[in-house]
Amino acid sequence: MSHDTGSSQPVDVVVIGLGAAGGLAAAQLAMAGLRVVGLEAGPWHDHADYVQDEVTHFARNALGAAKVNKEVPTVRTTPDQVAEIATGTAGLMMINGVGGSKTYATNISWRMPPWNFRPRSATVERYGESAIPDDSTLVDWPLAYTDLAPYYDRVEDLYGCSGTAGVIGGVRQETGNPFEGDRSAPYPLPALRRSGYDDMMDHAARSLGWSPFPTPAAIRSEEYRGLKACTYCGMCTYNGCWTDAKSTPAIVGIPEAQDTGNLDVRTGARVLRIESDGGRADAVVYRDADGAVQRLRARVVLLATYAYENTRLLLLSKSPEHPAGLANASGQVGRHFMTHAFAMTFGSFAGTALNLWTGSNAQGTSIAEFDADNSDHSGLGFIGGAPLMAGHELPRLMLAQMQPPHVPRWGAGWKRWLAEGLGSTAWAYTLPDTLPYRDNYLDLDPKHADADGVPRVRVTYRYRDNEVRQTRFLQERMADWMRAAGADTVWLQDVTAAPISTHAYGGTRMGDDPSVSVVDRWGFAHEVGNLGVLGASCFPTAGGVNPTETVEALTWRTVDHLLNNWTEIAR
Amino acid sequence: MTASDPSVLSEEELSLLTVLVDLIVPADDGGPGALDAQVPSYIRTALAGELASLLPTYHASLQAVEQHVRARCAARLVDASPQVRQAVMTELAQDRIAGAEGFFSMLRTHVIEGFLGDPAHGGNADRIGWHTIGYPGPRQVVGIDEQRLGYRPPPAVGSAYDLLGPTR
Repeated sequence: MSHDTGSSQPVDVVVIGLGAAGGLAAAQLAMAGLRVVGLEAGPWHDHADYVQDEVTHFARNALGAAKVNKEVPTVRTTPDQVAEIATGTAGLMMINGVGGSKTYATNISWRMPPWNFRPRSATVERYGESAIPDDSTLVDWPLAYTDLAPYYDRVEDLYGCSGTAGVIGGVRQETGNPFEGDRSAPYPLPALRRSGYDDMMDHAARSLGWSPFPTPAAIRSEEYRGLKACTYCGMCTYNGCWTDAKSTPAIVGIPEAQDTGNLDVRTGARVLRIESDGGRADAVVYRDADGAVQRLRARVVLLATYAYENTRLLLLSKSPEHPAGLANASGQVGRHFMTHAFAMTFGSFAGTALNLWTGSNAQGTSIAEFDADNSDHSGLGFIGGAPLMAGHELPRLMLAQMQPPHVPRWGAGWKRWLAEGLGSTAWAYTLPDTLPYRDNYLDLDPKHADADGVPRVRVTYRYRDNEVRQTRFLQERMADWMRAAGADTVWLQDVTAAPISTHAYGGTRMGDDPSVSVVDRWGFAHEVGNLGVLGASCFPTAGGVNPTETVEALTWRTVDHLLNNWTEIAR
Repeated sequence: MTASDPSVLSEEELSLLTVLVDLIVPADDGGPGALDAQVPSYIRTALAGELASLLPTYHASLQAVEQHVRARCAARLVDASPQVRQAVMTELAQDRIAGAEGFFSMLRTHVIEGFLGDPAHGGNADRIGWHTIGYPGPRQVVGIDEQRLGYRPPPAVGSAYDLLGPTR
C-alpha cells in the first residue's frame, strides 16, 4: 500500500541519492529555480560521527554498514556458478548519507585523460584491431574530453580542488602532469603540502626520467570561500573530515540550495522502484524514515545511487510496458560492468621513520608515464594503464596485514616487523584500467535477497589476461620507483580482481546506439526520456583514475542539458 | 568443550583463545605482547557486542582446535608444551585444522584490532600497541615538521575520544 505525498501535483525533479552525483545535481537544479526533492537512504552525518578511531571506521565500517548490507551484491566469476554474498572488506568506503561516499573517500580528484574518451579508436589506430581482446565490448565514449573540460573547470572551482596544473591553454607548464588534458586555468588552490615522503618520491621519479607531480585532490589546501583547510591529521580515508576540509555536497551546494527553499531533502528514504506511464517515468516509490511507503510524482527523475543500486533499481522497476525492467528493452542494463582493484606495491626503508601515519592519502606524488597510452604498449600484451600514486596515510590496521613475504604472519618474527618495519614501510598504488567484457555483468540474484526481501544485485566478473598483465606491469614500475627511492625490500600485493569496489563502472552505459547502451550522451535513458542516470554506471570505460571528478563533470553536463531543454524533457 | 551460554565465549574458550593470541603477538625481549595489551579482552567484548555475528565461527573453530590437539597429544592446548603450541599454531595458520579453516585470518585481524586499535574498545591497554610501532596516537593537527623523514613523535598518551570535534 502506498499513498501520494501531499498533492498529486508532481514535483519538478526527484533525485534519488544525494552523493557526489545526486547531491551536486539536486543543489544545482534547485538553485536554478526548479522544485527538487532529494531522496537519501542515509542520514545527515556530523562531526560526532567522524571520531578518529580505526576500529570504528576502518574495521567495522560504522557509517557504511547500512549501504553495504542493503546494496552490496553477490559475486561469482563465471555465468555457470552460483553467486555468494560478498564478504570481507566489501564496499568499505561506501556509505549512505547526505554527501554520500565522498564523505568517506580519499577525495583524490582527477580529470580523465583525453585518450580514455576514445580508447577503441586510438588503440586500433596505433596497434590495430587485434590489440583489442576478442570478448571485450570496448567502445569510445559518445563525447570527447573537450566536451567535459568546461565542467571539470566548474567542479574544481565549486569544491576548491588542490593541485598543480600541467597544461594550460595548450602550453606545457614547468610542473604538473605533462600528460593531462588541456586546462583553461590553474587549480583554484595549490597542491596539498609536500612532505618528506613526497620529496623523496618526487626525487626518485625524476631519477627514473619520469615527470612527477602532486596528486590532485578535492581537499582544500587553504581556506577557500570561508571553508577550512586540511590539517593533515592522518584519519582522512575511511572517515569524515573533522574540519570539513574535504569537499562534499553536504558541505558545498546542498546547504545553499536548501536556503533557496527549492530543495526538500528527505533522509532515511529507501527507494523501492520507479513507476512509469506511457514510456515516461512518472513516480518514485520509497519507504520513508518511519517505514511508510510513499509515492512521489515527478516530471523528471534522476537516478544517482552508485553502479550497483542504479542497476538494481532499474531492474526492479518492471511494468507491463517494461517487462525486463525500466530502460532495459535492449537488455543492456547491467552490461559492460567494470571495477578498479587497488593494486599496491610496498617498500621498506629500514631505520627511517617515514611518518606516513600522518596526512591524507591524497597528499601524494603521482606519475602518469604509464597511464592511458602515454607510453608505447607494443609487445606488452595489454592496452590502457593508470597513474602511479605514492601517498600518505597508511591505515595501521591494514598495513599490519601486509608484511613482506619473508616475514612470518605470526609470532616473534611478525611482532619484530610490526615494531621495526611498520613505521618505515611505504606504499604506492594504482588503479588498473579494466576493459568491459561480454560476460562481466550485473543482474538480479535469483537466490539471495536483502533483509527486506528485495533481490540483491549479482556480479559476474573476472579478470582477463589484459588486466592481469597490466596490473603486474604497473606494480613492477612502482617497484622500480621504490628501489630508486632507496627501498631495501620491495614487495607486491597479489593480483586480484575486485568485483566489489568503491570504483565500479557500467551497468547503464552511455552511448549513441540504443542497442548497446542504456543512456544517451546526455545521461537520459534512450527509452525513458525524462529519466536521467548519474554516476560511474554511465561510464563506457573505466579509465585508470579515481572517478569522482568525472562523475561530477558528467553530472553537471546532464544538469545543464536538462535546464536548457526543460520544456522538451519535462513536457 | 561445551559452551553453556552460546552468546558469549566460555571461560574454557577464553583460555584457549588466550593461548592463541599469545602465540600471535608474544611478549619477548622486544617488549610486551598481545596479552599485556589485553587483546583477549578486546575480542571477548567485541564478540559480545558488535561482532556477535562472528561468535558461532569462534565457537566452532575453537572447538575444532581443541579436538585437533586432543587427538594429537591427549591434552588441552593450555597444558601443552611450547613446541606443541607452536606446531598447532603453524597448522592453524596454514588452514590445516579441519573445522577451523579460515579462522586464523579472522583471528589475526581481530588481534591486530585489539593490539593497534583505539584503547576505547578495550584493547591496546596502556597504548602498548601504539608504543610498539611508534604511532603517536590520533591528532587533529599535524605540523610540517612532523611530516619530515626521521621525525620521532612523542609516545601516544590519548584516545580518539579525548579529541573533541569543532562545531560547524
